[in-house]
Order: sequence, then C-alpha cells, then structure tokens
Amino acid sequence: MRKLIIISTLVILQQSGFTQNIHNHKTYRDSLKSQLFVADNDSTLVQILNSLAESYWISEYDSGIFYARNGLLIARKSNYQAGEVNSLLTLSLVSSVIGDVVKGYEYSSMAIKLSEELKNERLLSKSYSVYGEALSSAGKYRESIAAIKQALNFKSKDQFQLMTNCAQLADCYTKLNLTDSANFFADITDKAMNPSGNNPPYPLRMVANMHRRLGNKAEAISYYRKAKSASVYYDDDVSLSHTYLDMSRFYSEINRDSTFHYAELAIKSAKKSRSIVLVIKSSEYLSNLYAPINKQIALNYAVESNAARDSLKYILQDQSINSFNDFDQKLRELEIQQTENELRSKIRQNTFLGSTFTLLVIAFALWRNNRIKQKGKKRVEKAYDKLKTAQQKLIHAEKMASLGEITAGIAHEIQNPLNFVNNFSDLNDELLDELRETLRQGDHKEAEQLIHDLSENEKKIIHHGRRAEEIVKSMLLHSRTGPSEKEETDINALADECLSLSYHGIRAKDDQFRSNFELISDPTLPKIQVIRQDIGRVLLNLINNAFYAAMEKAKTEGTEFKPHIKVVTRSGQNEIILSVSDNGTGIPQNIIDKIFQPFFTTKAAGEGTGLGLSMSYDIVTKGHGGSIEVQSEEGKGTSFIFKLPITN
Amino acid sequence: MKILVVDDERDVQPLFEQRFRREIKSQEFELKFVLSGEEAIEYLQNSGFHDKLILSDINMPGMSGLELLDKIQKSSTPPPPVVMMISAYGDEDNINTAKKLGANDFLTKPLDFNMLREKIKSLSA
Repeated sequence: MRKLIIISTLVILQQSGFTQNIHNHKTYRDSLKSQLFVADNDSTLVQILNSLAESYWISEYDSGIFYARNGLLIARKSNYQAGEVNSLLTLSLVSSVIGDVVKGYEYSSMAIKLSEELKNERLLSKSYSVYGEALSSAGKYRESIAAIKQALNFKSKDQFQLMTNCAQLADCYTKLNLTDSANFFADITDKAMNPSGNNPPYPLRMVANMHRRLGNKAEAISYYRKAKSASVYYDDDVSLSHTYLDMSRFYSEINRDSTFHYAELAIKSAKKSRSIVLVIKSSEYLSNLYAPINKQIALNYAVESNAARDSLKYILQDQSINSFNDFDQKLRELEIQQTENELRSKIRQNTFLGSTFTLLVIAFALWRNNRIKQKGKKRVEKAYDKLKTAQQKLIHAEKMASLGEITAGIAHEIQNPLNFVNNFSDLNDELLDELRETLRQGDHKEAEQLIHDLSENEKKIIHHGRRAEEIVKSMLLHSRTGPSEKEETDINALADECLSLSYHGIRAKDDQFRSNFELISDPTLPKIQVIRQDIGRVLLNLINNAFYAAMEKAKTEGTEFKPHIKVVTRSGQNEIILSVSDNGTGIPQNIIDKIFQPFFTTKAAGEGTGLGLSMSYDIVTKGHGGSIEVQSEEGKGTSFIFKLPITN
Repeated sequence: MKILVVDDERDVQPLFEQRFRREIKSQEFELKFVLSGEEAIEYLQNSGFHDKLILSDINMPGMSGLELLDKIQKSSTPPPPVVMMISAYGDEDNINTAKKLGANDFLTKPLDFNMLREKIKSLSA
C-alpha cells in the first residue's frame, strides 16, 4: 500500500511538469526523504530521488544536483531508462538556471536521445521542452522556439504542458521583440488555462505580460494578481519574485510608489527562495531604479548584486558541484564497464557455439541488418511526418507575422481615404447650408453650381469609402486560413496594393527610410484565375525583401544612394510575367541556389523566418503551375521574375 | 497670397478649392497644386521661390516632403519661403525633423481647415 502511495505521488509529480512547485515543500520533502529508506527496488528509489531533485532545483541548486545525479547513477546501473531521462532533465534545468548553458544543452540532448530510443512520446515532449529552456537560457531564442514547437508536436502532451510550452514560446518571442507572435502564443496559453482557476504562476505571468504589451491595464493587473496568488498557493517564492519584478515594471509607467514597492517585494521573495540568480536580477533592477534618485541606495543594491554574483561563482566552483566533472567521469566509466561486459559475454557465446554456427550468425546479422534498415525507414518516415506538421505550423506563424508587419501599412493606407470621407462629408454639410441660403436669395445659377459640387463630393465620399473597404477586404483575405479558391483577379491592382502596403509597412517601422518605387503595369493585362491572397503574399514577400535589400544598402552607402524598387507587369505568350527589382545589396553567387530552401535567411536573428521565399516558390509553382527565377548581382541589385499561366 | 499645395492625392485639389472657395473668389488666395516633390521644385524654379506659401505632405512616393523642404531651404536665397508640413504621421520624429529642416509649422491630417485658414491669414497679415 505504501509503495502504491509513493508511485501515485510520483506519477502526479512527473505529469505536473518542471516549473510547478509542490504546496508545502518542507512536509513534502520530508515525506520523500523518509520513503528513501523503505524503497524496495531501484526504480522506486530513482523516482523518489528525481522527485526530491525536482522539488529543490529551482532555488536550492546544490541539493537539486545532489539528488538528480544520484538518481542518474542508480538509473544507469539498474538500466531504468525513463528514470535516467528525468534525472538528466533536472540536471539540464539546474545547469541552465545557474548559467552553465553548455551542460544544460548537453544533458537535455542526452535525454532526447534516450527518449527516442524508448519511443516514449511523453518523455520526448518533456525533453524537447527542457532542451528549449536550455537554448533559451543560452540566448538562442529562435532555436528554442523550434525545440518547443517540436515538443508541441507530440500528441501525448497534457493541457498543463501545452500551457507551459505556449508560455515558453510567448517568452521567447517577447525576447526577440516579435510581439505579434508573443501575443499569439500568450493568447493560446490563456485559452489552455483551467477556467476554474488553480493555474500555475508562469503561464499566468506570461498572459499578464501580453496584456501589458497590448495596453490592457485592467486585465494585466488582474493576471499579475492571479500569478501572485498562484505563487503563494504553490509556495513558489521564485515565481513570486518574478511576478513582483514584472509588476514593478508594469507600474513604472503608472505609479512610482508601486514600482518601488513591488521591486522591494521581488528581492525579498528572491532571498526567501534562496535563488541567487534572482537575487542578482532583482538587486540589479533595484540599483538601476534608485540610481536617478538616491545614489547611496543604488550603490547598496549594486554591492548586494556583486556579492550574490560572487557567491554564484563560489557555488559553480564548489566541490559539491564541481564534482560535476567527477560525476561525468563516473558516467563514462559506467558506460565503458557496460560495453566491456557486453563484449565479454559475446566472446563467451561465440566460443560456445563454435565455427559451425558461423552461417547462422551471418544469417542473423543479415536479418538484423535488414530489420535495422526497416526500423530506420520507419523512423525517417515518422520524422518526415513530424517535420511536415512543424512546417505547417511555421507557415501559419509566418503568415501571422507578415500580417503583423503589414498592419501598420494598412493603418496608414486606410487613414487617407477616411480623411477624405470625413472632409468631404463636413464640406457637404457646409455646402447644404449655403444652398439653403442661396435658394432663399433666389440665386439659381449659384444654387446649380452648389448642387453640382455636392453631387461631385458625394461621388468622392463613395469612392474613398470603397477604397477603405477594399483595403479591409484585402487584409481579411490575407489573414484567411484554410483552403482557398481561385478567382478572377486584376494583377495590376493587386501589385499596386501590395507595393503601397509594403512601403507603408516599412515606413511605419523606420520613418526615416525613403525609397523611390514605381509600378509599370501593362494596361492590356487580362484578369486571371489565381488564389488572390496567395499571389498577394508572394508579391508582399518579394517587395518586402526588395525594400529590405535597399534599406541595408542605404545603411552603408549613406545619403548619396537612392533606393529604387520597381514592379513590372506584362503579358507573355499565354502567361502573365511579373518582376520585382531593387537596386539593393544583391545576393552573393555562393548562396543564390539556396534562397528558395525553407528556413534559409540572410537576415539577422529575429528579422526573418527564412520561409518567405520558399512559401512564394511553392505558391507560384505548385499552387499555380507557374515558375519563379532570380537574377542578381552582388552590390548592384536583384530581380525576381515570376510567370503565371493564363488559364480559364 | 499664392499658395503651393504639394500632395500625391488628387482629391486634395477639389477639397482645398471648395474649402477656400470664398478666398479664391475674392482673390485673397491663389492656389496651385502639384502631385510630387519633383514637380514642386520644377514649378518653384520657374516661378520663383518667394512670395508664396508652400503646404506640403510628407509621405509621398519619390521625393518626400522632408526632402522637398530641405531642397527649398538650400535652393532659395534667404529668407526662405514659408513652408508648412502636413502629414498623417503626426509623430515627434517627423515634427522635429521638419523643424530642424526649417519648417515654419506642422499640421496633422485630417486637416482642420478653419485653423489652416487662420494660420494662412495671420502669415499674410
């Protein structure tokens, strides 16, 4: 019965994830420690050790490492691989949190490899999450996003993990300043939460941060309060300190007293949690906060931060943790010993069977080889399926990101026609008063003129209203998901719209940027059957890239350089030819063959997904039976030419 | 008062003409419209930079309003003509850049024509 209770507790623990602390740590830890002495097999012992490690790692690093590494050694010895994965994951998390990012990366990579061998999707999903956490700690946010998305691919994840993974993604995207994507995943986090409450603090904090970014002050504070309550409920001082820090940042724009109040609470909780990393973070924050108003207090916090830094260095050098090296040595020795044992056993077996069994051995080897091949094939197929799913998700993310980029452009585009609608409406109001007055005076000639002006203005109101409507429609078309149908499309109008949207989108991001741009359209171009929003996306991608290349060149060439973007449409033989040209940086010849490959990008981290051109290629070739080619000269510029067949 | 309006939106012309119809009728205002910075420079070079007020949009394809302002300041003999900048981008950066380049005033779209009328009249007084 006792054993059953232990295992049930462990199952709950394992499923509850990594960042969730257990209510009333002390009682829980004491209970686990007492169970260590009565565990009657190695697997149970490993599970208890791992649970202890999980309850310690986030704040008491040394204890976390102690229990996890002992769990790992016993798991290895007893060949209990699932336990080994959990120990490795805790070691990865603690390494990441104390700044040993290489170890964090190594341990989680080992956990992934083992989980793959075990074919355990739940462990694989968990391992990719921790791997993502390690990458994020190393500042590799894009790689972290890819790993967490991989974790999300496994069906066996529970609601808690979905919520945690989405919160991790929101966190990474925030650090990359991709607020649209950050908000997108924070929103999913919010939706994945338990409506009756009892949600963990980390996802609640991420949702609060989303509302802060969106300017929803009331919602932000409500979620910060929920994150605070959850931290208290789970007795999680680490989360409490993080929440107070975020609340302080939130209040920095609203209320000075609250800013300081929450920052003080953050350091208090950090100290209570014994998390040195958090003490460093919060004392540095407080030092910066006090710097403009009280140099002495700022200095005190700076001293406190330095002292905490020194003690972290001490922990990293401390024998108990420095024995990470001895510990690794032990692991290696264990592996060598196991290999030696296997070899000895094989030799004995071969001697016993004798040479007469050689043929059988060869036959077995061939069969085994074939089986490995079959297994390998299945694994490749499975990996391919996973890759396809991940790709679909990324394509959607790319679409949402590009929508975010053009929103600013749309806002500007829509403002102009709306100004005209408002101005001409006001004017007509004025003219109507004047008309009444003119009719009273009996001046019919003037009245005729006024009626004519009123009618012309009315036409202009309708024209500009429709112009705004078209812009909204094109935005909705762009964001539409699911299968799309081909429709008769005016390519000249679409090119004009995309050119304008792209320019204003870029100007909204960098209003100092200037560029000439022109559309040379063939007026005889027939309307053709295409998926409008897809071709629009190709045009937007190519035009955005063209402006980007010109913008990059402008940074190095200075004011003498005049960026110029040209979009040309013309009729070919049973096809329409479109070209997008720029006089920007050009593409080096050694990479020109790779530009249509997925994920290939020359843009800086966070500026491009590397999917724009590969998506464009697929849309033009697979989606519309057309072709796309590139001509480029480094330093002089680039032209993308794509052809779309005219079909009925 | 001669006023040169520079905006790439064609409907700016009927809007201004109707709003200022009384002033145009009484020949208090004489309006000239061009659709780009390049056209504005060509017109000013032919007709002279002085004795007119220039109202220019900022965000135009080709030469922007700020570039036009810079060119006017550099091309005209001192004192430079009065230039008012108009833009939907009513942000601090553009206002500051326009002021640094020598703009006399800055107006944000949608335009308040009564205010604009007052401003023009106070300049010509």
